[in-house]
Amino acid sequence: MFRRRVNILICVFVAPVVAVAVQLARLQILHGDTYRELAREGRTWDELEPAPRGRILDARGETLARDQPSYGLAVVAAELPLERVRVADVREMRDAPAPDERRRRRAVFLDRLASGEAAVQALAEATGLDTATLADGLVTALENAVRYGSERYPEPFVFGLDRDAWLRLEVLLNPVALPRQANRRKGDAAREVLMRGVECVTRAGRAYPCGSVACHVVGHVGEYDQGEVDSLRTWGRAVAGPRARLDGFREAIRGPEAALEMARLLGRDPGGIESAAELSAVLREALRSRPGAVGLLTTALGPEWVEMAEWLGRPDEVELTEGERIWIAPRGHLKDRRIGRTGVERAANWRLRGRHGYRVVIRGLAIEDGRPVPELDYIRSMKPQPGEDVRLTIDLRFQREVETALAGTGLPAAAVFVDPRDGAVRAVASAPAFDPNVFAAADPAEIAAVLNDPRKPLMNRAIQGAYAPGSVFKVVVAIAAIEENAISPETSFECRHEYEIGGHVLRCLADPGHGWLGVTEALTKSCNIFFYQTAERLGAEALVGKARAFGFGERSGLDLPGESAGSLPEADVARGVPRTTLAQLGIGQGPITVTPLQIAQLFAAIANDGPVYRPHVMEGPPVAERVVRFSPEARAAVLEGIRGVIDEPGGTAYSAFHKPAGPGGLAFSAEFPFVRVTGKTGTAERGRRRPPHAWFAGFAPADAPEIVFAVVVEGGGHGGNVAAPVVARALAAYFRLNPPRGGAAGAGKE
Amino acid sequence: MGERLSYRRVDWFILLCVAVLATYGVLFVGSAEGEHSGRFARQVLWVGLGAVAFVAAVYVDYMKLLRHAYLLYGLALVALVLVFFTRPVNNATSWFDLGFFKIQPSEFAKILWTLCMARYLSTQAHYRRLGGLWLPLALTLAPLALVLVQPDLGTAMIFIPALFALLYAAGVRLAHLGLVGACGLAGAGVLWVAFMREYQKVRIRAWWNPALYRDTAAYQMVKARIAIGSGGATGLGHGRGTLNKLGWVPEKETDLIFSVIAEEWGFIGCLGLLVVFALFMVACLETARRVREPQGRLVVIGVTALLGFQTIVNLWVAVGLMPMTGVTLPFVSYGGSSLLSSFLGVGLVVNVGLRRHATLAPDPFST
Repeated sequence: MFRRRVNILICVFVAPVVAVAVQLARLQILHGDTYRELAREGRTWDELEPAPRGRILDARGETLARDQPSYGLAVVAAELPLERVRVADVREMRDAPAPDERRRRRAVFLDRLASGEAAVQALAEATGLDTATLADGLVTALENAVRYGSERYPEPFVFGLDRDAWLRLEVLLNPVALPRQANRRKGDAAREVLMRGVECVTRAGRAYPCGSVACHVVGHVGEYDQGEVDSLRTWGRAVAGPRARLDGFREAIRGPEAALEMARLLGRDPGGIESAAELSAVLREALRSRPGAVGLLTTALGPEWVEMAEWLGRPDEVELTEGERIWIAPRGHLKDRRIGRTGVERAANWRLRGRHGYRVVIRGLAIEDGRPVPELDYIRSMKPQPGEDVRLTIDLRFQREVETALAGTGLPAAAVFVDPRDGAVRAVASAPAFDPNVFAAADPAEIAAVLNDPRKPLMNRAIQGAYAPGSVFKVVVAIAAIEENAISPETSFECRHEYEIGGHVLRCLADPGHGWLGVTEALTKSCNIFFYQTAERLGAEALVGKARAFGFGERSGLDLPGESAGSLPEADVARGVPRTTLAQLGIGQGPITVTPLQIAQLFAAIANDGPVYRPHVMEGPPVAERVVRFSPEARAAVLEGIRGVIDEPGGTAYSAFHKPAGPGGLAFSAEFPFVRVTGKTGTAERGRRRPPHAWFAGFAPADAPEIVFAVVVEGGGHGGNVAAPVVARALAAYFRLNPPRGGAAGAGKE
Repeated sequence: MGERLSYRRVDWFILLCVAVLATYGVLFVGSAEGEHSGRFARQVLWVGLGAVAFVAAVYVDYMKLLRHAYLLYGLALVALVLVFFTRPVNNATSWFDLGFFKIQPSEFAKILWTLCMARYLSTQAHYRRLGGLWLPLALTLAPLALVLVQPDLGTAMIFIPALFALLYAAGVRLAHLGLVGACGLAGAGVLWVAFMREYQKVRIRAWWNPALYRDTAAYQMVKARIAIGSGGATGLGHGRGTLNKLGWVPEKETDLIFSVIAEEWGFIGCLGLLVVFALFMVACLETARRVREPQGRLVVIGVTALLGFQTIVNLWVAVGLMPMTGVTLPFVSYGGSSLLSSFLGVGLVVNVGLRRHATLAPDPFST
């Protein structure tokens, strides 16, 4: 019986061995080729050569933004000397089933890292960062390492370190005296004393040498965060193949409305698009030729097409970020996750970014002297294409003066200076400003301080601020009224300081009233009552219509992101406004808001007698935006009216230009006697308790306009007192830099 | 009782198999590590020491050893307890660090446990009854638990099938065995669910669905399998296994040395190894069959079961038939304690085969 049992035991031992042989046969013989291919793939990867990002330059070539190495640290998860926590805990943390549980475990892990680990304390001392920031970065890096099996490779976890601290750390971690390759053990031993598992690394960062000057124009650069990476990855998969794009498109136009919308947008039947290449071409054409196509595509096809639309401009440059190592031809991105967030950095992101190069590397084995030696083989490569430099139309010297003048008011303010002849923006300033270099800081608290500052320094008030225009708008009312024959240049009304409409009493500034005056004088003296009556004669619909013709209520098309369109009632709404509201509209109050840029465009239309060019901060050919029609009489009347604002002693902006700004200085009119500045002040009321916004807008020189300006100071009070001096100072600087044809004081004659 | 040691009764075939396996081991540790590395030299050293241990294990009459079986077993338990007071290596307290080398007491405990079980099962008959099985169980659970808590799941696991093999060979009724087995499974299941840590559960899920966990938990397992598969029929050539050379296969000189063999010598090489293992196990069992002395029989069965199941588990993990556990391949994997204890075990087998001791019954373990 024992013998029989031994026989059974023999089977018990031999059968599993046979099973192994069978499985081996499956793996090696049946699927051997597949595995060989997989092995080859596993040894293949892309080596990136990041392309440097282009610079942003001002009109004269001064650098506003450029690349600069950012100093940071990377951690090798397997080697980090942790005492109380383990890398395996990270795995457990990640494997938690519910997101809440995952968050809780992460918080616990973070806490332990930050408070209990000597390694983290040592790093904190060496870098000057606090342990919480370091721990957070470490946890993210460890998560990535565990997720992608890269525990033996350096994973970056913090950047933006001070260069000197980084250099000191680098010397500590990589003792120069011990050659690493030759005598690895000794080097490792030395490093064990100091800190294992941490390496110094650099990556591309961004520096803004001019600090807060033109910060709203230049903008800043941020990084894709994990959410963006994930969503990019998701739709990246969708557009991975042209085939997938076509399918996505077909899916989106399935409904009859969507199809109709798309047909209208593309100008052809969308269902007839047969191939993916055709789709790309059609979409590209639509994006290029139709303004607002991006917005329409988004509405029609859904939010993911926002990004898609930009990418579609260059269909072969669709890329994905790192992570699942999904690559879309051509491969790219990875080390440089930067994306412009605001300003020109964002608007010109594609031009600035260039295209990363790569090499496909296969790691193989060569036999040297009978010993196997790893070797690298390169299959194909693509050279990196550095980003384009972007040149702005802004002259930094002038921009600085404008910003200083604005800052001098001590209030939130905005200024726009545009050349009406081609739409080139000469200065765009918004106060308060911020230093874009803060976004490269390692400490997230600094960044948070800027983001959460209640004064909103990140807001570009020149294009995003929507304010009531106040008296500046009277110019529009005047032109509209004359055009529509509601009044003539000779019509006069009586101003008796008070005017009654429908039971309400509206007032004019002057007490007692101005008496009888025509439109020209009303503009010079900024009489409200004249314009109440003019507005009544004109009618709301015509008023609003003319305002729209000047570009109010829609974006001016500036090539910076985030422009506001202001607000203006629609024609049918305007029809039904009560009389008091109509009167308010006549003086630029009520249901109307405008941005300084729109006001500048208004005066550009007047300066050019009709044609308006699209404003742009980036160098490029002028683009005619629209032509505003008004008769010569209207123009003459308005011009005469606003001339007086500055040139006549009673004008609201007279003293700003004819009295010196400070002791020992020259008045503008003294310094530039042959330059006539013309414009309109505004005092936009905001209710009884709050000081009104101060406006001043216009152009110079009056006979051959080369610069249009619009300045608003929030809560500044009277336009002539607060906004006009800013303009005077800025224009003085402008004409010093660009001497007028007539020459400055004491130079030549007219 | 003296007997003359006869050369003819030495199981030369077993020796041959062991020699072949040890050669495989030396060759592939050399390939995996590089001929000039420290580990290769150590492997050669341990094989040499193993040969010495083998001779020692053959020379002393096994009956003399068995007289002290219980004492030796007690010593093994003490060592297993003492090891908890050492510094953890890789988060496990499994080694005594003696400076130049490390000793893993669990490897030797297995052999000493076999001696104890052999003695007990052949001198007591209680186990024929169901109730009498508790002592063998307890004798096994003690070292098993101590090893399990180190933690070393792989080594602890091997005790169980070895125990069943021993009980089976000793004549326990199949029904009883089945009952114990069922209870054990149930108990283990409960313990598993209650105490199994998250990452162990993930390991099992990853093994079941490697495609899903390709980049995470199953990363290394998948790489090892690719290495094996890419070996094809004849392998990539000795020393030319790219995946293992380039560091993609973890534990390539210990637990997963089979994948190195598979990658470099292909199906042919692996088949050779499998055949040698199978023949080795059969030869040992033949010795058990041939020998009449009951304790000797059980020693042989025990050693064979330990080595055999360890081999099977290691191979099954390597080719993906089982989720990952940490056991080495006897005689082949790098590891001093493993080699030494395996050589000692085989020495005992040959020892038993060599001697002729009187037995009390013509055919022991017959019912």
